[in-house]
Formats: sequence, C-alpha cells, structure tokens
Amino acid sequence: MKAVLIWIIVAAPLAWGVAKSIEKARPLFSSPPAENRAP
Amino acid sequence: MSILSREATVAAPGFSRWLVPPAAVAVHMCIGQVYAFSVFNKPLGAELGQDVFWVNIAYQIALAMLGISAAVFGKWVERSGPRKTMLASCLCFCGGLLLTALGVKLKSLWLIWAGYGFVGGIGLGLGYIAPVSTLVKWFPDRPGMATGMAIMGFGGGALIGSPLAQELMTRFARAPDTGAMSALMTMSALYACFMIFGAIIVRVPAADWKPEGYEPKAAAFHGMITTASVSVDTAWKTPQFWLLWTVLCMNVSAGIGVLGRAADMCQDMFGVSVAIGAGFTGLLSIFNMGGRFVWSSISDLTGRRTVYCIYFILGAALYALLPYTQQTQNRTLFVVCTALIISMYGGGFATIPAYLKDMFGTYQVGAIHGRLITSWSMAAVIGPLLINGLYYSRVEAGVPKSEAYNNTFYLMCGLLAVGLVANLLVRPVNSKHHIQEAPKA
Repeated sequence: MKAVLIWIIVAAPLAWGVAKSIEKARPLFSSPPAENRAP
Repeated sequence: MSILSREATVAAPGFSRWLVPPAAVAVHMCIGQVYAFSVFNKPLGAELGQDVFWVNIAYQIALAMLGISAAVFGKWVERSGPRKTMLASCLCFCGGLLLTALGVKLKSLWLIWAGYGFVGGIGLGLGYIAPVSTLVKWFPDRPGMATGMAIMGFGGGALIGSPLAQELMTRFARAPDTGAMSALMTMSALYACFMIFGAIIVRVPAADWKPEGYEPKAAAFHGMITTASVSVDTAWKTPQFWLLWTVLCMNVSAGIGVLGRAADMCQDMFGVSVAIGAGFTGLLSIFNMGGRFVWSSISDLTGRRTVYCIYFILGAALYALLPYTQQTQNRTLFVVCTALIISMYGGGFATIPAYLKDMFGTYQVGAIHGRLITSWSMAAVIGPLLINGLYYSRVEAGVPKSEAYNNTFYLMCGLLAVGLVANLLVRPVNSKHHIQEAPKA
C-alpha cells in the first residue's frame, strides 16, 4: 500500500506533463497538411 | 549519527528496493525543469527590460555548472550518501529559483545569472548524480532499467516545468507584472516538497545486500561487465573513460541537432503552421522521456556496447533519411524518424551510468558519472554552434530554407560515426587499475 502511494505521488506529475504534451502535439495529427501550410 | 548521514539511510532487512526509484524520479523530475527555462525568457526579459539573449545566459550558466559541480562534488556525493546530497541539491536548486524571483523584484540580471545559473546549476549537478550509485547498488541485475527510470524523470521535468510555469504565470499576471516572480516562488516551494520527499524515502542497501538469487557474472557480454572496482581518480585516466566521454558527447551533440531547432525545422521543411511546429516539439519531448526508460532497459538484455551501436548506426541511417522525407514531403516518415532519433538521444543519457558501472564497478560510479557528464556541458555548447553555424551558412549561400538542413543532417551522421568508432574501441579496463578491496561505500 505504501509503495503504491509513493509511486502515485511521483507518477501523477509526470502523467500530467505527458497529458499536456499530448494536448500540445494534437495539431500535428489532426490538421490536414494543405490547410496548415504557411503562406 | 545524523539523520542525513549515509549510515542513517541504510535499509532495514526486508525493505523493498522498488521504493528507491521513486525517490530518484522525484528529484530528477524537479531539476529537469532546466530544460523548460526558455518559458521564462520573454517574461523575464520584459520585467528587466533586457533582450531575451541576455536572460537565456542563465540557462547556459546552469548547464555549465551542472557538469562542473557533478565533476567537482562527485566524491563528496559518494561519501555523503544520497539523502544529504538530495537535500543539498534541493537547497541549491530551489534557493536558485528564489534568488531568481528576487532578481526579478530587484530588476537585477546579475542576480538571475547567479541565482538560477550558478547556485541552481550546482543543485542540478548534485541532484543529477545523487541517486545514480544508489540505484546501481540496488539493481545490480538491472542497472540500465533502474538508472533509466531516474533519468527518465529528468526528461519528464521539462514536460512538467513548461506548462506549470505557463499556468502559474497566467494566474499571477497583473499588468505590467508578468507573474514570473510569483510563479518562480511557487515552483520553488512545490519542487522543494518533492525533493525533500525523495530525500526522506531514499535508502541505500546494506553492504552485504544483493538481490535474491543474483550472482555477478563477469563473463557476461564478452567480459564487458566487471565485478571489480576502479576509483574515480584512476578511472578518469583510463582510455575507457575518454572513449565513453566521446560516446556521450557525440550522442548528445547529434540529438541536439533535432531538438534545438525542432519547431523551426518542421515549419521550414514542410511549410506547416507554428501550432504544428510546437506540437512536433511536444511529441519529441515525450519520446525523449520514454526513450530514456525503454532503451536503457533494453541495454540490460543486449549489453551496453550493442545498444550504443544501435543508437549510432540506426541514428545515422535515420538522419540520412531525413532529406528524402523533405523531398517527398512525407511528414509522417519525418515524424517517425525524428521521434526515434530523439528516443535514442534520451536513451544515450540513460544508459551511460550502467555502462560506467559495467566498466568501473559500483564503488564510485556516481563520482565517475559526475566527471563524465562534463561531455554533456561540452556538447550543449558545441552542438548548437555547429548546427546553427552550418544552417545559417547554407541559407546565406542561397540554399532554400527547406533544403538548408540537409548538410546538418549529414554532419549529424558524421558525429554519430565518430561515436560509433569510440564505442567499438571500448574494452574491459585493465586489471592493474582495479582496487584490491573496495571500501564498503
């Protein structure tokens, strides 16, 4: 139980960081290339 | 006996070694914030009325101090044990953040350089090497996986540090105050909690402890794993140390080739929007973090030399493929190639402590690692210089921006080839360098 709690305390911020990065990376996959070309 | 001493951290019989990696990750994910310092560049520049270039010097001082302090304090770290070192790291790193906040208040660029760069940089070096030898001693059967876990935390630090700083600044901003000072103070307090938590839960194994059923095998991987020990003062005079120094330096320099210009590169080569460029950087950060754990764990199965050969050969092949992805405008292939390259860049960082343990034993592996990561500081300086220099010279020569990276990619192939040669030259350390009986550290 103690070990699980310790791992959760450490893993939670990392999971939050990964989720934020995935959110940031989403446009890379969601937008068709032609619409996103710079002028 | 002080509660901070090494003796006070010796684990009681029956202690689970799986409680030690979270202590290391807790410290590394805090000090990994350094990778996200750029998020403060513009707000600090605005607060101080200084160009971003001058603010960013603090980051460069911090990286230089990381290597210098790890090299200088490595032996002290081994003597003092992980708890005292983690607390010292916490004091320096979190103190550095507070001094930076004070620098914002007093509008003093010098204080920011001294606080974040010098004091905070010492915290980075201490925190980076603090858990290495402890983890290697707890996991002699899987040192790659164990140190990979900690160093993955350092990669994860950037993923946390950047959005955390942005959210805090958004909350605290009241024009003309950018919120940077309050954000720095809050981050200092949050990071101190995690680092102290790591220092409290960390334990070192008893001198005669070993994992159940574990027997060291010196013959494993063609004798590339020693059961003897080499002291730090001897280790850095051996060719193996300098070959591994070159291996890490080339690996890091080549990785910075993509990481340093990721967003610009994606936009220039494929004409995509700024949002997609930023998304590409976010994706690479995840692979940078994940690669640290995955590749270093793989090294426990394949051997360290083999896994570095994979980094260098596969890395060079992928770099050579990047101009083709631009010519064919194959964005998916480009993302796959660069993600793999960055995963191996992270893997190179994470595998090196286990490689050092294989070569020099566990006795002073943390201190040896401390001296070796001066190559990181070196690569952090020469890598971007080489890459940016070559890129801008091509642009000035009239090469279109979309093709100006090609020579950079080929240069990266060359750096990786140098690393491959250095790696192939690594042989077991001559037994004359072994200490007859390693003191129980």
